Amino acid sequence: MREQALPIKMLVVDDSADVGELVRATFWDKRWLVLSASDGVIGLEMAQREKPAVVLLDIVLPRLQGWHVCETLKGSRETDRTKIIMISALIQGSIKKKAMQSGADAYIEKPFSPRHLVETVEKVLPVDVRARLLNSGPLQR
Amino acid sequence: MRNPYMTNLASSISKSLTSLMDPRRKKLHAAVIVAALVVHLALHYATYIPALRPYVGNLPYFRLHVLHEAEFMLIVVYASVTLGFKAGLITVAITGITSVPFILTPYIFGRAPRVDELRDSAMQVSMIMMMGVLTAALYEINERRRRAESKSEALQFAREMKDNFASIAAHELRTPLTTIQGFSELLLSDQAPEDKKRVWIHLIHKQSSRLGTLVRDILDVSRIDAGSLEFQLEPLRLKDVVQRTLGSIPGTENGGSSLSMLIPDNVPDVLADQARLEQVLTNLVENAIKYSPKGGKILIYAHHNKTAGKVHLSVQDRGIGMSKEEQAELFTPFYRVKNKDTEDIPGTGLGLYIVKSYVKGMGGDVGVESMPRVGSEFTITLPASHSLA
Repeated sequence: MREQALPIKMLVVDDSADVGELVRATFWDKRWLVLSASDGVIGLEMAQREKPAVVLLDIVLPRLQGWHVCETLKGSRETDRTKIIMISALIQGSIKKKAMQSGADAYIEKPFSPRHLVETVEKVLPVDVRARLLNSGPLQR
Repeated sequence: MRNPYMTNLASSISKSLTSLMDPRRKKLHAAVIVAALVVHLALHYATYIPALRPYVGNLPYFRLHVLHEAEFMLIVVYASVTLGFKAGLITVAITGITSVPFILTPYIFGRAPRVDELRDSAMQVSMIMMMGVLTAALYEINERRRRAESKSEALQFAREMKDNFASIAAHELRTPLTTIQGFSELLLSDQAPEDKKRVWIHLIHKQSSRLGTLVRDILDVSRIDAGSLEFQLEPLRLKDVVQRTLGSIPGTENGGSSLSMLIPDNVPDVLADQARLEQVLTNLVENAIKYSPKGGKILIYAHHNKTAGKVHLSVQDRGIGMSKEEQAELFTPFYRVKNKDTEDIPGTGLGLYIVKSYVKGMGGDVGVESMPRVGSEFTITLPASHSLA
């Protein structure tokens, strides 16, 4: 498997600019490169082009809903290794089930604690990437 | 008795086949199709090209062409199964174009066609047409099924969303909370950079205000839905109500929107609840301001419908307007017009639902007329009070 070099690419797909800013602020150090998209169609295109290690995906998005983006990424050999974490303010069990069925690796409810977000992202990363993160030395902006 | 060796062999063959036929292996499938097309062309031109003739040997002409057509069918089926019906159609087209009909091929090689070539030409053309029509039909059926599925899925999702006010309300409330909780936690940690602190505090403040508005509107709506609204109806002079409302709305003076009122003296009083009517007017005028350009003209006018004993009060703007589809959804809770013109306009999506509920509760009705890029006019109709002015 091709090793992910630092910085690790992360894509946030959410129509709220605040969420994008929050994720960028949470993953502030040089080990991360945070990209963002504000609708499902652009989010999908960016994920296919940039091939991030992790995608944080809202469900209710303009133009293309989150679970369609997830299904498409997971259904293609070129992007099925991307880890997808659905983040949503929808908390019904049926919605969460549907999100996981579309292939998501994890689900975070909004509002979320930045610390919980970091823990979840680190948990879904492949072992070798996690090791690179831990061995990368002191954090720098 | 089952032979374990045979079982294992069958299982591994089946696994390999499944893996080989995996739609994700696009390059492999494309390579197979191209190779099969080359074989197809070779079979087509084999009898004409001396170099290829030895390979087809003594095969009777007819058998050669049956093999040729069978191979064609297999390529199209393979392409459709692995890469989709669209790919199948493209394969039909490429094969049809590159395999020049048997009737013409002999001319390329400098002779007239034989009788059996003429006959097989008919078979070839009908085979290509049949595969084309079949693949196109299957493509259309598949597309319709997909569209129906995604439509019903979207409808199901919409139904879940629409029918469940509490779920949507929860979703709307949790969104600003995400900003508030997230940034306040970051500010409390020791990693917030100095240049960002003020920005994040501003975001928290903005979302707190939004949350406050949402809570107010959602509580109003829950009172409406619970049927626990009580209206204190009394005769009200419209001119006074409108003037009082306009005075309390920011953005109506000093170069903001230009508001004018046209309420003739002969318009009678209306029978309405004062506080609720003021809130209705506030919502309508605030919307008109929000969706109009800066300095846009907004007109509030009223007229008396003597025969029906009603008074119509309209708020007219020259703003961005709405399409018929958008108008149909307007009074639904949490519905907000979403297009590139409205991207930055804040709102809860509950204002008009509240307007409609209050007006209906007072024995009236509300309607809208609008045209994109021309403007909108919201009209509330209320019963005229029978008391003398």
